[in-house]
Amino acid sequence: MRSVLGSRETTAVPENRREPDDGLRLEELTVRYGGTTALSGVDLHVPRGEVLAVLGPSGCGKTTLLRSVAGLERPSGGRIAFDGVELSGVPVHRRGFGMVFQDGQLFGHRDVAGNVDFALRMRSVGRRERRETVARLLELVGLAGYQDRRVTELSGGQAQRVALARALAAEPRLLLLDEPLSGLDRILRERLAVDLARVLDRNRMTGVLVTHDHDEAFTLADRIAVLAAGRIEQLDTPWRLWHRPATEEVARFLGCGIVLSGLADEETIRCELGTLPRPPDCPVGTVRIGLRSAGLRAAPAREGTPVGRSRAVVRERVHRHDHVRLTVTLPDAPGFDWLEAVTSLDDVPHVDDEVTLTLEPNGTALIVDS
Amino acid sequence: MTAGEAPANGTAKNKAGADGTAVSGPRPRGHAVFITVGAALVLGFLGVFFAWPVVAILRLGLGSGLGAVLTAPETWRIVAFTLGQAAASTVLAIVAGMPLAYLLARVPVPGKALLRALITVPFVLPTLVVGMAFRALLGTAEPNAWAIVLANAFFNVAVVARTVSGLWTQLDPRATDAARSLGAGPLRAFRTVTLPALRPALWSAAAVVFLFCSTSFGVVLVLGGGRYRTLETEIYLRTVRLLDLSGAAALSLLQFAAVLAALAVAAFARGRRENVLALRRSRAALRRPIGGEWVPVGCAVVVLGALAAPIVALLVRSVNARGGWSLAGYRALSGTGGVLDVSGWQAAWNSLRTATDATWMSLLLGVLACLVLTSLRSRWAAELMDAALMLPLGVSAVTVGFGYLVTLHVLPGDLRTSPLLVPFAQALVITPLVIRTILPVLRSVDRRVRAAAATLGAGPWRIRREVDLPLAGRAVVTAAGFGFVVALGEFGATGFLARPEAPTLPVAISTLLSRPGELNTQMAYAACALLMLVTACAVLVIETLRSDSSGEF
Repeated sequence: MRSVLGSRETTAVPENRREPDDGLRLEELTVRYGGTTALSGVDLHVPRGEVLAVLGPSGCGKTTLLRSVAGLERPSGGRIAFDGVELSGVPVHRRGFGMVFQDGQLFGHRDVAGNVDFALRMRSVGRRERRETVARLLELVGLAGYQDRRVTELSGGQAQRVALARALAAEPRLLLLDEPLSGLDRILRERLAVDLARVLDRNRMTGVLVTHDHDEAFTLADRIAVLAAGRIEQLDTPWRLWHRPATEEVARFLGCGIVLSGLADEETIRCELGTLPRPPDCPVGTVRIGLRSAGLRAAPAREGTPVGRSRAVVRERVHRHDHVRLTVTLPDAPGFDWLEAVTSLDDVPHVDDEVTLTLEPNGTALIVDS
Repeated sequence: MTAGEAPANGTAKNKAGADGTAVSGPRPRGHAVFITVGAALVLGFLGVFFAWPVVAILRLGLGSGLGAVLTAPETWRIVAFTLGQAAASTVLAIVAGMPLAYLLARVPVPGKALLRALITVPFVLPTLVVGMAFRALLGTAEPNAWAIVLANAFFNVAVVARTVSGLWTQLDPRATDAARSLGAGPLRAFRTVTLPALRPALWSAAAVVFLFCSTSFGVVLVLGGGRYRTLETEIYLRTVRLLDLSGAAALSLLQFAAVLAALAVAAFARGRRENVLALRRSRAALRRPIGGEWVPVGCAVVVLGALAAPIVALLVRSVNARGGWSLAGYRALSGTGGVLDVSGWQAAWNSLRTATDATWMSLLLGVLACLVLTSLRSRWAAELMDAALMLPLGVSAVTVGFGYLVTLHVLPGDLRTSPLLVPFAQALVITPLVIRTILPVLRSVDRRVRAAAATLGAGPWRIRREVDLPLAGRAVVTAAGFGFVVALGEFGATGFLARPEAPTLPVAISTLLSRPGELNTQMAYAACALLMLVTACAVLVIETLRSDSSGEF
C-alpha cells in the first residue's frame, strides 16, 4: 500500500527525518540454539516512522529476529539498540515494544475490552480513561462496540484486529508484527492488510513485520529485507525488490519461475523469448531476466511472426478470474520445457493452436550483477 | 504409594519448549532470586520429609541382611505374586476400561459429566474401603487372590477409561471413516487405525496401573489375609510386626527399582503421546452408535454394573448384619468405648482435619513447584526436578512413615508428637498428584500468550497473576479436591503415624477389622460407607467444577 502511494525507487522516509541514532538498530545480531545458527550477523536499521518487512521462507530465522528484538530471546552476539540505547539488559515488559502475534494470542479468559485495556492496566491507568481509550482503539480497528464480546466468539479477522488494538494500546515505540495476516483466508487478508497499512500510516508507526507472504510485505512495508538461512540477502524498497532482485535466489523466492540470460544494448534487452525495453538503471551488457507467470503474453498467431516474438503451441488452457492461463511449448527452442503464458479473455486460443509470445515488462524482473 | 491413592498423569506439554517458559530474553533480577528460593524450598521439603527418612531406613536395614533376603526363595515368591497380580489386574483394567473409554469419547450420553464422575469414584475410594467392599461382595473373609486382582482392576478402570478417552476424543474420526471407505470393516478399522493411534495413551495407562497395582497395600492387606502378600504388605509386616528392618529395607530397594522402571515406561509413553497430541485438533465426534457399535456400548454398561456391585454390596452389608437388617454399626460408631478410643464421628472429624491440612500444604508446595518448573530455563533442570517430585509415588508409604519415626526427632520441636506429622506425610503423598494436575495446564498455555502479556508491559509476576492464575485456577481447584479426597483415604503412611488417641477413619477401620466380633465388623462397614459417601460427594463437586474433559487427572 505504502509503496504504491510513495514514489518508486526513492526510500520512503525523507532524509531530513533521519538521524543517526534514530529508531531501531541491529548490529551483527547472531542467535544460536545449541548447534544451529538461527541468525548470523544481521545488520538492520529501521528509522522512526518506517515499517520494515522481513521476508523469507519458513525456518529462515525471521521469527527469531522478531523475538530477539522484543526481548523474548537472548542473542548470542551482536547489539540491539533503540534510539541509541542498548537493550541487552532490558526485560521484555520494559522495552515499550508492542507485538502482534500470528493467530492473535488473545487472552481467552478476558473479553475484548479486557484484552485491549491490558496494557493500560499494567500502567495503572484509571478506569474512565481506559474505557475511552478502548473505545477509540476499537473504532480505529473497525470493531466499535465489540467491548463485551468474548474473544472465543470472534472470527479470525476480528481476533487479529483486537490483537492490533491491544498492541496499540500500549503506545509502543516500535510495533512488531509476526505474520499478522497469515492465518486468514485470502479476501479477509487483503482487506485487513489495507486497514492495517492505514493504521500504521496514520499513527506514523515504526514497525518490523515478519512474513513469508510477499503480498503482506509489499502491502505494509516501506522497505523489505529478504532473509534466507539467517542472513539478509537483500534490503530494498518494495519496487526495487520486485523489479531488481539482487540474486537469482531472491528472484525465485519472489515468484520468478524461470531465469534467462539476456544481453542489454542501448535500446533493448534481448533474450531467447523476445525483447524488452531497457530501463535507464540497467547497465549495458549481460543481464539475467526473471520471468513471473504473467511475464509472457500470448496472442493467436496471425500471418507471419513479427520480429522479436517467438512462436509457441498451446498445450493446456485454464480460465482464471480475469485472464486465461496457457501452458505452451516452443517448437523452435526445444531447450525450454513447458512455459506459462497469459492471454486476455476476449481472444482465447484453443489447445494445439499456434500463438506468438511477447515479453511483458511488468511480469519480469532484472537481476543486474553489481 | 498404595494403589489408587494418586491419580494418573497424562500431561500435554507445549510443543514450544519443555520448560514452557515464554521469555528467554533478559529478566528482572528479583525473579531469578524467587526461582532459586522457590526451588530450594520445594527441594528442601522433599529432602527433609522424603529423602532423609527413606535413606535413613535404607541405611538402617542395609547393613546385614540384604544378601539373605535376596537369596531367600520366599522373597522371590512374593515378588512373583506382586508382579503376577499386578499384570493380571492391569490386563483386566484395560479390557474393562476400553468400552468405557469408547463410551466417553465417541457416544453422546446424556449427563456425561455425571457418568465420568461415577467412573472416577472407585479410583479415589480408600483402599481399605475397596477391600471391604469386595469382602462384602464375596461374603467371606477368606483370603482370595482373584479378589485382589478384581479389586485392583476395579480401582484402575477409571485410569484406563479417562486416559484413553482423553486421547480418543482428540482423534479425528475421519481417519476411521477413511479406513472404512477403503474397505476395512469396523473391527479392522479399529485395529489398524484407532488402536495404533491410542497406543501411547494405552501404554501410559498400563504403566501407571501396573505401578499402582504392584504397590497396592490396603486391598492386599484386607483381601489377602496373611496368605497372599505383596512387597508392599511384606515391608509393612516386617517393619511393624517383625521389626525385621534389614529385610524391609532390602524389599524396599527391590520395590523402588521396579517402580522406577514403571515410571520410566510411563514417561516414555507420555512423551510419545504428547508428540501425537501436538499433531491433532480436537473435534467433536459424537454420534449414535450404529449396528455393531452397540457391542462396546453394551460392554460398557456391563462394566458399569460391575463397578457398582461392590459399592452396593458394601452399603447393603453396612446395614445388614448376619441377624438381619440393623443400624447397629452406625449406632455403635457414634458412641465411644469399645475398641476405639474415640467415637466414629470423632475419627471422621480427625480425617477431615488432617486431610484439610495436607491439602493446603500440598497446594502450597505443588503450586510453588509448578511456578518454579515453568520458570526454569534449563530443560534438564526442569526434567530432573519434575522427576524428583514424582519419586514419592514410587516409594512405599510404609517406608516413609517408618522413616519419619527414625529421623524427625532430630528436628527442633519434636515433630513426631505433633498433630502436623500425619498431614506432612499425606501432603507428600498427594503433592505429585497436585503437580500432575496443574502443571499440564500451565504447560499447555501457548507460550506466546505469556509473551504477548510481556510485550504489553506485564512483568514476570504480573504474567503469573494475570495469565497463569486465571487459566490454571480451575486446575488448582481440581487438584485441591482430588488431593483432599486422596488424603482422606490415605492409609499407608497414616496408619503408621497416627496416634492412637487421634485416629482417622481409615485407621479406625483398620483397628476395627483387626478385632474379632460381629459388632466391630459391622462398625467397620458403617465407617467404610461413611468414608465412601464423603469421597463420592467430593468427587461429584470436583467434576461439576471442571469444565474441560481432556482426560487429565
